[in-house]
Amino acid sequence: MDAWLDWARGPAFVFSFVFLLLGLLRHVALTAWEVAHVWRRAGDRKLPLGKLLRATLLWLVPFTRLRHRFWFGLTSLVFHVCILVVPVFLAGHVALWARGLGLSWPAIPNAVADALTLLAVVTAVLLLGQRVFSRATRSLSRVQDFALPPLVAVPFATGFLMMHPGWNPFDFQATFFVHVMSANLLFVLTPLTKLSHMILMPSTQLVAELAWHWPVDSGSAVGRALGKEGEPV
Amino acid sequence: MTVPKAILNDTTRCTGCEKCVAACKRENGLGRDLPRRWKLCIDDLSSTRLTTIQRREDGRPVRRMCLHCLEPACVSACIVGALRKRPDGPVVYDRDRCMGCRYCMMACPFGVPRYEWEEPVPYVKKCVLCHHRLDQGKVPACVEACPEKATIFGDRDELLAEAERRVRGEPGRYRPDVFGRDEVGGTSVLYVSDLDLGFLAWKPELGAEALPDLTWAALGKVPTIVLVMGGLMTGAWWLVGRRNKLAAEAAAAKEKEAAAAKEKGAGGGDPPSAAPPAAAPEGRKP
Amino acid sequence: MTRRLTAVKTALWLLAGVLGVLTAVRFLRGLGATTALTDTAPWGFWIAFDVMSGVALAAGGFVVAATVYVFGRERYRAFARPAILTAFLGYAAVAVGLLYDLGLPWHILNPVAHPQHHSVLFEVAMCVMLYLTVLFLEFSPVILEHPRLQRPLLARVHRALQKVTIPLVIAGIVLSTLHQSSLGSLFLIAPYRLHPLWYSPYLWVLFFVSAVALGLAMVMAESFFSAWLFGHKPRRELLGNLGRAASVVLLLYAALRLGDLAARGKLDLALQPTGHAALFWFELGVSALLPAVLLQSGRVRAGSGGLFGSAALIVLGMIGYRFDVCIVAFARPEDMPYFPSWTEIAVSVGIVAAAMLVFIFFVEHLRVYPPEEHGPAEPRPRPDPGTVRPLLAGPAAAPRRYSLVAVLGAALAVALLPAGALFGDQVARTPVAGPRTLDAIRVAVDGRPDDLVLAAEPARQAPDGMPARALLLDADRDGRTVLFDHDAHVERAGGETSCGSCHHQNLPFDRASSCGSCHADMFLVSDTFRHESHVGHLGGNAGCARCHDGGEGAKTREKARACDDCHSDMLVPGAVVRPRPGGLDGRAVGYMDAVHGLCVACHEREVALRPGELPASLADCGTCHGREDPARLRRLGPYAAADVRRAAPPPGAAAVPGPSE
Repeated sequence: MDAWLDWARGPAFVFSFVFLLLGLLRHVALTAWEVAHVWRRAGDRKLPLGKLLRATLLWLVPFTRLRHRFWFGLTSLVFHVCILVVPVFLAGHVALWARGLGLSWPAIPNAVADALTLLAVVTAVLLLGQRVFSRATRSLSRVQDFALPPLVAVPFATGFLMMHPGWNPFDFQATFFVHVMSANLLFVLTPLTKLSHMILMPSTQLVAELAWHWPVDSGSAVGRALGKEGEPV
Repeated sequence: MTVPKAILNDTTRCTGCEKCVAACKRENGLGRDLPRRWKLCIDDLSSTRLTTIQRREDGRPVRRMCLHCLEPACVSACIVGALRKRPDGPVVYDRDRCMGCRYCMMACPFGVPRYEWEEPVPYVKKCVLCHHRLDQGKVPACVEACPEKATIFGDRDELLAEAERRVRGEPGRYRPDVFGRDEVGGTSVLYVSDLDLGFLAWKPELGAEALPDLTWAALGKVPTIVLVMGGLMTGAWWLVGRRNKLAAEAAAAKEKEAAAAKEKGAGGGDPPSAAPPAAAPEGRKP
Repeated sequence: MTRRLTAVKTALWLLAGVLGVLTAVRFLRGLGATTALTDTAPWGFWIAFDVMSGVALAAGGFVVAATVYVFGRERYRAFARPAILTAFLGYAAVAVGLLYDLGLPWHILNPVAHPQHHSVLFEVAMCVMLYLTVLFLEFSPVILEHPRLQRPLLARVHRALQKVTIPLVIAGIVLSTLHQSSLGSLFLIAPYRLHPLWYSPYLWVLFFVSAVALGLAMVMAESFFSAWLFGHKPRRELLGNLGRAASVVLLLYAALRLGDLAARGKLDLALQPTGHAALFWFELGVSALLPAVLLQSGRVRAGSGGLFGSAALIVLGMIGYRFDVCIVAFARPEDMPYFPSWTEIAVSVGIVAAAMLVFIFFVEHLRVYPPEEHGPAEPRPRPDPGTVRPLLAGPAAAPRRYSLVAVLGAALAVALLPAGALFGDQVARTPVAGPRTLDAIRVAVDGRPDDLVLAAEPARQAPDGMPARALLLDADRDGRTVLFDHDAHVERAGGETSCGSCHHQNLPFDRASSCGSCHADMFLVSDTFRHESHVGHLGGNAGCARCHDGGEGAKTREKARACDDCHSDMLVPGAVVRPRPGGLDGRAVGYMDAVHGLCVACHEREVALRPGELPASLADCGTCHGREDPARLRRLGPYAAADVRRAAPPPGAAAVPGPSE
């Protein structure tokens, strides 16, 4: 077990975390490149830049959208705050960063972390329930939309058990292993799934607007129509 | 006129107290010796240990250090002149010029220069005969620290004479030859000993030929190669070009001749000997 | 065919991603952390492969340029552009590879500022710099042909370049001759290290001739490879002619090599049954004899397999020749062999991969191959497996695919890096071995009372000697020992009850624990705390709070209870050494520091207490060290001999690089 745990905390974690960082960086670079490319071609159209900026800011600050579907919005907001704050500011995690790379930042009290962790697990379950029981949402959902919230809840649940070993019915090392590996899995999945919205969120409005002006594959569709497939547009 | 200085090590007097090592470390501000992948043993010569005491048969101590060759291979190898032989003996190192190619380490017949492998900004480390102390009129720190006078400093000529005197005076105590008088063209660090000192170098038997001469034998031919190769290539290009031109001219002339003959042959059909188009501009077949 | 190109490019991008990570690590952590280089192997894989072999592999450029431009063999013109491009990228790869190998790569232009013309390396550096420029100028017309670059100024440059083609080609040939040969001259300075089967005053001739053969072989191998990659037909007949020429050059090379050995009287070295002789014949056979014979046969030359196989033999064999001269046949101590680390190999492979990507890019966008050989344009790969819908499906598919692969390669590389490469080179651990107990006799020797001799030494068995128990300390087992008179120290310190003055701390339930049971490493701090065992004994999950009772913050060692809170009997009162204030946390300093700290402190204290009685030198190194040399111990009785010999190698072999032994 110890060897497996060392592997999960060592090479497996390093791989996942580097894949997360570089993968997100890749998304940023690709998005910037694609936006520039498309924008140049859609240049004859007028882009409502002011409106885009406002929409982007509105979506980035989620309070403003609460009035649409209050309970769902609140659940989602709490969920996001919890899953961002706890992993970054947990005292134990801060200590690990300090030991490994010499980086350090303030931590939140353990009691607060406990509360936020439980909230994260509860809101994850609620979000999944909303997705399952709301017919409109269900029909729009893909597999990953159902799978990701419970997956996100796993490291939080195991983390809570680790913080309170007295209440943990399972073996401590096994809990630890599941905690680390589920987090590693999330890191790897982030650049490959919709979790990448954590970095792509600010660009969604712009990308959507550009896609409206320059539909995906429109160039090759025109080319096909003209019988000049594969030639530069 | 600078007099070449030298160090004479007498291994029969060395007790292995390592005070020279301690003095060297103090003088040069060297760190602690730690076991590293690139060391054979903890008291190997290293970037933190520029002189060391090596135990030989029967635990007999022999001091190792840079031998400060009279015609150093490292100096001739150094691409930027970061290593330099001073007229008064020391082979010194200028870290601002060094680019870290480590050719000096490949070239040294005694395997002396060491590298700061653990550093992201590494430099070569070797004994520089405390040249900053020599400038102040002092002797090297190791010599000053030796309580047994087993390592002494002075003019090379005088030390060589002293070494001969010791060797001849007590033939039972010493081997007959002074190590460093002739080896690789002579060194500024001399040894008298009752032990075989062949282990100081990569091969037990060192010739008297200075190593830089071996390189120069090839390097001196560079101007010749430039002239010969340049001349050969230009000549070949001119010859081939000229022959191709002549061939083309001949072909053109033949064609013209044929055309003229065709004109003469009143209204006859195609002349049977019509020249083919200009031959491919290729001379010999390979 | 297009699938093949995509697969190859995907693999190359993966390797390039690995290279990216290794680059960062190499420059942040230094050479020691990322290579297997040592003080006795200062040149390793990067020099042997990137520089020595890289330059030689790029020799195709000048060989083909000479054939086409100087000797006017127009039939071979189709090879000129790819060969010159290969040479240019090869030399660029050499320059990049050198940046990794140099300790201070930002000084790479120092040879221009501070020339030292007695150095062969200086000549090589100058020639490589100039030749890289020449190759760039030779190749630039191909770039200037591109439709987007049809501007008046550039057109003038283009015409000017075309006018100086011949001078450029001749300059390139001269420069190549110089530095291809000088790569051999580099080793003339080391006659005592390079094995005589490889060392020759004419190394430079051998390197030049072998480079010509290698250049021809590279043109052949590369033609076949790019034909396979881009899906066009190799010009087999012309390649066969190149093969025949290569075979002649190889025979010349083999004759020179053997003739040189014979002339210097070293041929008998090659006929003795040694590893070096076997290596010599293997290398000569693969690099020259076998392919030369193969290429003489018309049947071999007629088939693609035979031609490509022979070319591959030459390429591998000649790389082997460079490796032998640079690494394998270059002397170093037997107990310090050099084998490259995976990071070294991956960097070299990554640089080659990057160069190949540039090559493919040029082939795809410029007229490197004659137009009739061009395959279809860039295929459209499958899009990213990610769910993020690309804004641009077509043009973005390739960047999406290749960047994902590069990220994957980079993440894999970081995960596989050893800790030393990530956090800087680690000091090797040196486990401490306990002392050995010897029977000794206490007699007066050389006027000194209380000197110990070993009981097994017959000459010293004086009838008035007292039997004594001595400890032979050699904690790192390097054969250099301290003979410690334990009995006498017990007596002086006050008898049986005095153990605690030196044995300052005990393991639980132990009395007078030995030094090495806590100070378990010779130089480094050891951790004496066993977390697992405590978890088990304190009742698993429920027991955490017994030590980690701090409540807030992380459960770290610093915040846990001190060991002696529970193990109150571990610390011995009245000891010479005391633990640091703040309680015990289970960390013990290195053995050497611990023992020196204890012994020297006590000796100094004793001298200060009894100034007239004890010599001032009592605290000097020589008091303990140097009194017992291993050779003397070995001459003693049989059990001692076996004991010492098993533990330590003979001192000569273990000590500093006495390489010639």
